[in-house]
Parts: sequence; structure tokens; C-alpha cells
Amino acid sequence: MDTLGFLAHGFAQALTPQNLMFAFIGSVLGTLVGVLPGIGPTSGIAILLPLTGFLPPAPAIIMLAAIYYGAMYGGSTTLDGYQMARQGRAGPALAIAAISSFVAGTLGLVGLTFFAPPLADVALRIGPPEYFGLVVLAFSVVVSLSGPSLVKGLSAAALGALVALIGLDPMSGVRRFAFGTATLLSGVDFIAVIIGLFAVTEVLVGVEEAVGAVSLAPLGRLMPRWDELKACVGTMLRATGVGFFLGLLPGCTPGAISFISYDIEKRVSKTPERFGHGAIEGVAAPEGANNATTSGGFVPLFALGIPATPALAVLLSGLMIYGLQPGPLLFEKQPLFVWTVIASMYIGNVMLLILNLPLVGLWARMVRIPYAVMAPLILIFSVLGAYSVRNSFFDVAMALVFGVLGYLMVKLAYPTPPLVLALILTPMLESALRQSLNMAHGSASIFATRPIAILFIGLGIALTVWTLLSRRRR
Amino acid sequence: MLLATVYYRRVRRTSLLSAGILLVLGILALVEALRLRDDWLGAKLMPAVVGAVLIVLGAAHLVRPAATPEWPDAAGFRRVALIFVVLALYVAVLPYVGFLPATAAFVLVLVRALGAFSWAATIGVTVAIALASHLVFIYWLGMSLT
Repeated sequence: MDTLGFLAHGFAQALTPQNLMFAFIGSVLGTLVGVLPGIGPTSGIAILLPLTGFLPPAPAIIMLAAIYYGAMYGGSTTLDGYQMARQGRAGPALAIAAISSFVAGTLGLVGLTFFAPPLADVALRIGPPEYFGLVVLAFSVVVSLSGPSLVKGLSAAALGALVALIGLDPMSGVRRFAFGTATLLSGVDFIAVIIGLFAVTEVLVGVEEAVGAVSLAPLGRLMPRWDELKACVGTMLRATGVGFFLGLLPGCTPGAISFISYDIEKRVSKTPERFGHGAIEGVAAPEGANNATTSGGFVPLFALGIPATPALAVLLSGLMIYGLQPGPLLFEKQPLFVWTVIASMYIGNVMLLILNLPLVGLWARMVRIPYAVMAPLILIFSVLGAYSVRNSFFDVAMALVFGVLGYLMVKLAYPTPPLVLALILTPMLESALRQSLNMAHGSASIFATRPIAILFIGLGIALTVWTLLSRRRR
Repeated sequence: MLLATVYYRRVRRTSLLSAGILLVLGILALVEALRLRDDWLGAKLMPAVVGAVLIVLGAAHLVRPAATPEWPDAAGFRRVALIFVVLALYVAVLPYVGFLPATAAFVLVLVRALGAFSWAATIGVTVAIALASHLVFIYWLGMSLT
């Protein structure tokens, strides 16, 4: 069967009432996560994970994916969006953000539809050395996630790698860092760490200051003018290209890609002086690129099993809870499942457009929920979310430990995302590395004979160097 | 001059602490690698590599001191500590007290500590959150917390 045939089957499944309903619930929850203060896409999916516990895999992953791309949708927080709001044009700013998100997100899904299967096909034929190269490439994202201090970012990543090694070594059966205890033998649960580092930490930082009421700009008329929309068509297409293709590279984060897309738009524009003062293209470009990246990130996730962002890493562990190992075999063994999820993402994007355009005022009002109500809700969801994965209070305790660690890291300016990525990538790196070394009877020279592995490792090094150089320039 | 010394000391102290933690963890990982009964290219490999990396990064902290952290004021810090202690207590009593009473008490303390609500509103919010979460997690999702 060809790609379109598979996609049609996926749509037939995605359009069943149950799957439609969970795509809708996910879109609503994602939109909420996107607008509510104190919670982001990563912690949002992690604490909402238990809500899917009673579902079969397809609706569960449909819902979790919708929470992710829903949280990334719209939500104009750009400089030009702010300026438009100050000029009484918050409505058109939010509308163009939603439209651009929809267009670029959907075109990104078209990219996902046609890129992921051939990539999975290629990935099926690569061995451990090439896979090792891929994970090295994925690790290079740590550098761009590091923030101002590289040493701090790398330290966070090393900490994550150390935590990943706790427990039974799956290859040799040796107990590592268990210190004779049974609880540490099964390792530290990834979801518990995420909930601690993102949700609990976020609340602890949030309660430092009594949060005042958020002031809201009047929306003005909602829809942008026709000529503005026309001016944004090219912008959206460029944003899609930039967002999707850079999003395929694990070294590029959505923040960086939004910035690059904005920069390109400013260079292309005949009136670059409007940028920064409420240019509508300055809203459309980063929002579009952001959502194209979101769609693009599913390509390495589904085809290679490699998450490009911490939020996708949560989605990956959500898949693994159901015993579904993302990667090349997923397309071969579970085609209906993958294509149902992909089809549901097209549907979810339409739902989000409807949720964001006419209902934009409703979501804006949600921001006014007092923090004294949000904080206990987030913490209850955190406790139950950490507990639900393995029904274990040890995991809840770990979430609290990592909550305090995260708080200290935030205070001491250590970035938390590198820790999370290292935590999920280290086991992949380790097994690929050891399998490769085994193949060559313990000689690292195996990598020298594998051009594709060298290519990936070289790409990883190049991305790292490029990131380091562009940091120095800024 | 005095200010400069104080500044220098604070900077050094936090980065000394981070360096110390990283070095201890690095040594711990190396010791664990030595202890494991497996090949150096097997189960010992990653603990050794991660240990070495941690030690290098810890040493790097000693060379380049970190910036001064922005700690919250005393009131803010008390709030952070209170929230965390209440959260830890909540988790500790949850398996024994039952979800609804534990959650209601937890939410009551939190809303009171954070919000500028009247007592009536505080109790209203508490009852609403506790009942709603009970409905979703215990009644609807059938979670059991024992």
C-alpha cells in the first residue's frame, strides 16, 4: 500500500467517534496548557499522562499528541504581537498567530506524511554504529539547550546521564547504582523526573512571588485585513520550510527556529523597519515556524525513535508505556496505529483553528485563573501523574526530590532540559555503543568503517561547533 | 572594596558547592564502575565515562565561578519552603488518610497560603478542587493509592 492509502486508512480510524473525542479533549487541554501560567508543554503532557491510563493505545497517544501540538499553537508571545496588542490590535495578532499556526502546522504534517515512511525504511537497514551516530547527533541539542553557560548545560546533561544509569543494566543484568536496595533496582522513572523538574519546580518558583492579576489588552476586531492576510501567505510558506526542515535536525530547538524564521522574514521584507513595531508578518513567521517544527519533530520520533525536545521525550515514554517502541519497526508492525495518530493530527489542527479563532476571548480569560487555584491543581496532578506510571510512591518521592533539585537548578541558572534529554538518550547511546563495540570485538575502529555513522557523528560535531560559534557572536 | 569581597565570596561559595557535588558524583560513578563485575566495554563503560565527564565538569566549575543566584526575599523563601513541606506531608499521609481528606487538607493550606481569598471563598475553592480531583482520578479513572 502506498502512503496515501495508509493515510486514508488512518483517517478512517481517526474519524471514529472515540478517536475524534480524544483528539478534541487533547486539543482543549493543550490549548489550556498553552495559555495557563505555570505550566508548559512538557510538564503539561507529563502530568496529564494518567488521564490516558484507561484508554487503548490509539486514543491515548492521539490525546497526548494533541496536548503537545495544542500547547505549541498560537499564543502570540512575540515582540510584534505585543506591539500589535499595544496598538489595540491584539485580536488580529492572535488571529494571524492561529492562522499561521494552522497553515504551517498542517503543511508540516504533509511533510511528516511523506518524509517519515522513507526515513523509517532507511532506518530499518542501519545497524548499531549508525544508530550510535544518530544518538550522538541528537545529543548535540544539549549544547543549544544550554543557555548562557555551556559548563552548566553540560553538567545538567551529565547529571541526567548518571540518573539514567541507575538500576538493572538490561544488557548484562548487572545492578548499577542500586546500593543493595530493591527500589533503585528498577531505576528512576522518567515521567517522575519530568514532573519533578518541570511541574513541581515551576510551582516552587511561581510561589516565590504572590502573582498579581494579569492585565489584558482589549482584543479589538478579530480578523486581520484581507491585504494583511495576503501579505502573510509567503511568510507562512517560508516559515513552514524553515520550521519543518530545521525541526528535523535534532540540534535545533523551537525557540531558535522561531528566531531564525523571524530574522529571515525581516530580511525578505521590503519594509524591515516595521519589524519590532507591530508588523503582522513578525507574528506570523515565528508562530508558523514553531508549529511546522512541532509537526517536523514527529518525523525523527516516529521513524527513528529519537525525541528532538523534552516534550517529545515524554510522548516517547507515553508510547513505551503501551509497549510501542517508536522507530523504524513501528511503521512496519503497527502501520494502522501510526497512520491513525498522524491522521488525527490533521484533524486536531482543524479543531485547534476553530478553538483558537472564534473562542480566543475565552482562552484569554482563562489566564485570569488565580495562581492560588492553579498551584494546588498542578501539584495534585503532579503527585497522581508520578504515581500512576508504576503505581509507586517511590516515584512520587522522586518527583519531589527532582522538584527541589529543579528549583535549585533554576536559582543557580542551570538549565533543566539538557538533564531530561540526557536521561532519555543515555540508554539509547549506551546500547548502541556497546552493540557496536561487540560487533567489532571491542574495537572502536568499527566506526571508521561505517560512513553513515561517521556522517551522523560529523553532523553532530558540526552542529555543536556552529551553535558554539553563533553563541559567541551574540 | 568590602562589597567586592562579599560578592566574590558568594560567587565562589555557590560554584564551590556545585563543583563539590559534581566531583563527588563523578568519583561515586568511577567507584561504581570499578566495583561492577563486567567488561570495561560492557556495563562498566558508561558509568566510567559519565564519572570522568562529571569530574571534568566539576573541575571546570572551580576555574570559572558562577554568577550570583537571585534568591527570593525572606517572605518568598518561607512560602517556597511551606509549599514544599506541605506537599511532602500530603504525599506521606496520602496512603493512610485516603485521597479525599488528604487532598482537601492539602488544598486548604495551599489556597490559604497563596491566595488573597476570604475564608468562605477559600473553603469553596478547596471543596471544588478536592471533589473534582476525586471525581476524575478516583471515581472515573479508578486509581487506588494504597
